[in-house]
Amino acid sequence: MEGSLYIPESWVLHVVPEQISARMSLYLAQHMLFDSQGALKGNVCYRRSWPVVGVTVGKMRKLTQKGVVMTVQPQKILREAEAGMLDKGDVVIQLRPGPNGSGIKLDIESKVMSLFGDQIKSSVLEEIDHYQLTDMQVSVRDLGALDYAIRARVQTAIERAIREEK
Amino acid sequence: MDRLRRSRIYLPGNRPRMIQKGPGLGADAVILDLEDSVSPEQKDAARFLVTRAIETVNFGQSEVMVRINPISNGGLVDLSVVLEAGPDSVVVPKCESKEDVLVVEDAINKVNPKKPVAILPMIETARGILSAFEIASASSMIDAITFGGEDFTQDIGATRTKAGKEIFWGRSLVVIAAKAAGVQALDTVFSDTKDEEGLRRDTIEIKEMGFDGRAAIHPAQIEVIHECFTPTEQEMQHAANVLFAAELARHEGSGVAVVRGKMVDKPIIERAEKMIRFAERLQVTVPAPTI
Repeated sequence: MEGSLYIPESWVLHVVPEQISARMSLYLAQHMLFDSQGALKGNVCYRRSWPVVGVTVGKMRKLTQKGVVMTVQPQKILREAEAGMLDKGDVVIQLRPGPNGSGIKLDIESKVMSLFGDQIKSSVLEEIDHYQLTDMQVSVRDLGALDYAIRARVQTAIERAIREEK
Repeated sequence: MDRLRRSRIYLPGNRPRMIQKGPGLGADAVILDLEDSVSPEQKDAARFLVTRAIETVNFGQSEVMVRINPISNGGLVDLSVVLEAGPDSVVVPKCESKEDVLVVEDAINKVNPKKPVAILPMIETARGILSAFEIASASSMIDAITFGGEDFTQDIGATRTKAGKEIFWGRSLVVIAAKAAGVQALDTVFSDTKDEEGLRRDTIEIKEMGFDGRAAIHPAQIEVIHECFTPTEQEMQHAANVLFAAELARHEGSGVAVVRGKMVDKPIIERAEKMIRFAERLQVTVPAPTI
């Protein structure tokens, strides 16, 4: 069912306690991530308007003044995934898991490569960085997409790649 | 003041090129659609694209609406993703009860958005029509209800015709429920994008019924819709005369205002006032009285 994410135990969470919404709290409670006193068992990763990335019972590494845990371990995608359409103004993003230690291999194809190649690259990597992912091949086939569309397609591909099979 | 909603154009939520055309279309509102124009396997992609578009694209004067999926089929997931981007309004399809609205109100309140978000329930089933007033008055976040003619026709097993007699009663009930609840009534689409005259005829008819605007599915329909919802010179002249006659009667201490031999009473004066205000808002020149 959409909206009900399965969180593998190996995933990492970071926490923004002030930003946890009621829906998020309910979700965490349902997944028994609170202890009997209502305290979080692990660290929770929750960015504004972003879905949960993962959970761990590891120690908090760094607590900012706002109580935000910033440090996470890089994770891997679970499977190949694709997002976007071969349509003018769109971009097709393909993700493939890579060997351990291979990092992010990025391949960009775009008619505006000479003009906007750096910007496309930076947007794609920034989105990947939000999820703290590593070891994967990223193929970008750009058909003139604007920045917001590129970011949305990368986000979609990642979400599809990190979910457990239903 | 009521938002100007003569036209609302649907833009498929998973098509960047169509979304980017939105700002230049001149519609009073754009509807970023997550429902019918998005296939089930692309709903996730559309949610993210629409969210990013709201955050990034400048839609200018156009109100930014998002049509979510029905509450029973992914609507709450849509809300959990798009609400924080800050749409102006949320269009809730296939509303059939007060509860359908309250669930959306609750989701909005939980996100506690920085600016107010309006709820626009779509009434497009037989059950919805029979609960139209209950729906329209379910929440203070509602400032309009909309009629969905295509789904309504299908739901009651009727045949959709250009004459539209199969939806006349549904349309009427939506207008009456909306006005009783003190909100706008917005009408359905006109599906034949090549029939400009048909669109004009139908739009004039729904304006006369009391609708405040209608939906468009093609950019070319926007101008025709605006034309129909803009008061004609003749209508404005009459309104100006009515207001002048009313002022004259008030000045002379007479209880009765007369325009060209016909008595004008309070509802006519109020209608004239509303029309002149509307024309001024559209920056249309209001003629001087000729009586």
